[in-house]
Amino acid sequence: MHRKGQVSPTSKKSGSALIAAIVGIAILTVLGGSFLKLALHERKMSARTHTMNSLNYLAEAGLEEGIWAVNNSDWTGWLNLTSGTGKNKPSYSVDLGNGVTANIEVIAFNAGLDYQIYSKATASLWNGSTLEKQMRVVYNPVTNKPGGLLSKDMMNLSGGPLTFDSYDSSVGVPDPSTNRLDEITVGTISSSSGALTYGSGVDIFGYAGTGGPAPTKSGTVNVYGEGESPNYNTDRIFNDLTYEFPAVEQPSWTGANTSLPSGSNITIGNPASVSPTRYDISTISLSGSDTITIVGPVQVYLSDGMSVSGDARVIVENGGSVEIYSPKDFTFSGESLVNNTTNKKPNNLKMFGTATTANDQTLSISGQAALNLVFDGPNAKANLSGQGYVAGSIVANEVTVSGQIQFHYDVTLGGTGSESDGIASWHDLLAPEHRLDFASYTN
Amino acid sequence: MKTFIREGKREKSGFTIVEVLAAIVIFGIVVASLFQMVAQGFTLVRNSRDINRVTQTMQHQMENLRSSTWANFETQVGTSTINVDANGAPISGGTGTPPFDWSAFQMAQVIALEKAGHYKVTLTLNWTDAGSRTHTRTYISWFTNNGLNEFYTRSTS
Repeated sequence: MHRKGQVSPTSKKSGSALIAAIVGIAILTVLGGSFLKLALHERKMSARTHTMNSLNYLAEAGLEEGIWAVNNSDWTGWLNLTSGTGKNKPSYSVDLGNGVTANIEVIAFNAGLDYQIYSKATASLWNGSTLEKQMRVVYNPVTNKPGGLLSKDMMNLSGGPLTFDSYDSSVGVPDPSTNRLDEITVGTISSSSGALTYGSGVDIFGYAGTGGPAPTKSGTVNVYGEGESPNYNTDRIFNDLTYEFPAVEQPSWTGANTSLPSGSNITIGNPASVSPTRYDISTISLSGSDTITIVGPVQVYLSDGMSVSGDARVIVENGGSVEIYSPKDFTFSGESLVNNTTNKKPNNLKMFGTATTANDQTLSISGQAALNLVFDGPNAKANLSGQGYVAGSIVANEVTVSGQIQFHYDVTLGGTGSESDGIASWHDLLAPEHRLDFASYTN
Repeated sequence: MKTFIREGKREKSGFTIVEVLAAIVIFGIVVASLFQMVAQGFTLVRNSRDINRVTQTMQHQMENLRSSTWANFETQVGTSTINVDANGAPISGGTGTPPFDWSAFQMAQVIALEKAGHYKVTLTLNWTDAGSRTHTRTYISWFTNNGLNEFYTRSTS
């Protein structure tokens, strides 16, 4: 019994060693397998990142296709949208090598004078899933025109100090030390005698001009540029200022809202929508502390004009934009603020004077009103007085400026009035809800 | 007693030489497979690193072009070879510095005019990995006058 008892433990030991060896191999196999799986995953992620970057540049390529077509009015290969106004460049493929083929599709919505260009690049991965990149730019066709304060007929600048300069709104708000440029043009295309008159206290950090005669100057007037002390630099005064003053059409919409939401503090626009929210109403009259906040694209037609007075506000949030059309007067007075609180980009607040007879409507800015806007009223009379503040650009039939107005032309507009130049905004559309469903607009 | 001893020895000598050889072979196969697995893993990691490096290098060059003024961009029209420095940044010359031989990561850049003010840019990077396998990656985009470059340069000037 004793010897038999010695054998049994030995046998149990052998079994343990075998089990230990098997467990060891199993652990090594699991570790090795995990390492291989991690390495494989990392390799796939690297390839995915690379492909995603490729799509980034292909989406940019799509935007460039749209921009080129807009700038050159060459829509060869594009189709009309089946829904909405604009064009579609149907999906076309690009071989990236390595067995990867990507596709690009572009839609250019014609939103009034601007274009909203959407580009989509897609590619399939090894596992059958599809990667997608979408981008959008808001683009204004490039034109070559002077920018600033421009009239078709007489322009009279008096009082003082009246300061005219320019700035870059993509950098920030006007600032005498950090954001001041000498690119504004103040003038008229009129060739009549006395078309442009200016008196003492007028300070133009940029250019002045007429369609022919020399400006009528009284007192100390400065027209100068970067690197110069204030002086009357005749090299900066044109006698051949031209601009076509294209007519602004009165819009004709179907299905527009016929009233604004009620209340003295209202919000309009849909930030998730590409199409503007439209209103066809008689007037907007804000006073006291009334406020309208614009959070998405909005277009408004006012048959009887607009007035903002007291401490009233028109607030354009980031992502919001508004175009206001009217054949009647636009009046801003008191301490009213129009797009001068959040966004402050003039290109996001445009006003169009649609009057068809010269001086049949008036843009009036007085008191301490402050506006960031683009005003295009080829038949409007513009009266700027008091201690008002204007950033943007103004086009009118006649212009009278007095008092102590500050006028800052935004060079990102790239031209006068509504036909500004270049890309106004550029967005990567990352969230699914911000992306465009291309199939809804194409065959 | 003898009988008990024999029985005990029979239980103790449980594995035959054949069983031991079979066990060694199986163990060998398992270990070899594990080595192969790990080696394959290292190859994959190395390839991932190469692809990341290539991605960054090509992205760097594409952004260089995108942030050029239009006048500068047009000076680069044609075919050229872009080398990269020890940090993977594109440079006009150079042959690479240890620990990474960046000279193996030369990039071909082709900027071709397609129509007025409209260029196609193709960046192609070829490299050979440690296992002597060749790889190619390509980035393609279009650049137009008064397009995205103008926005970049306007925003940064």
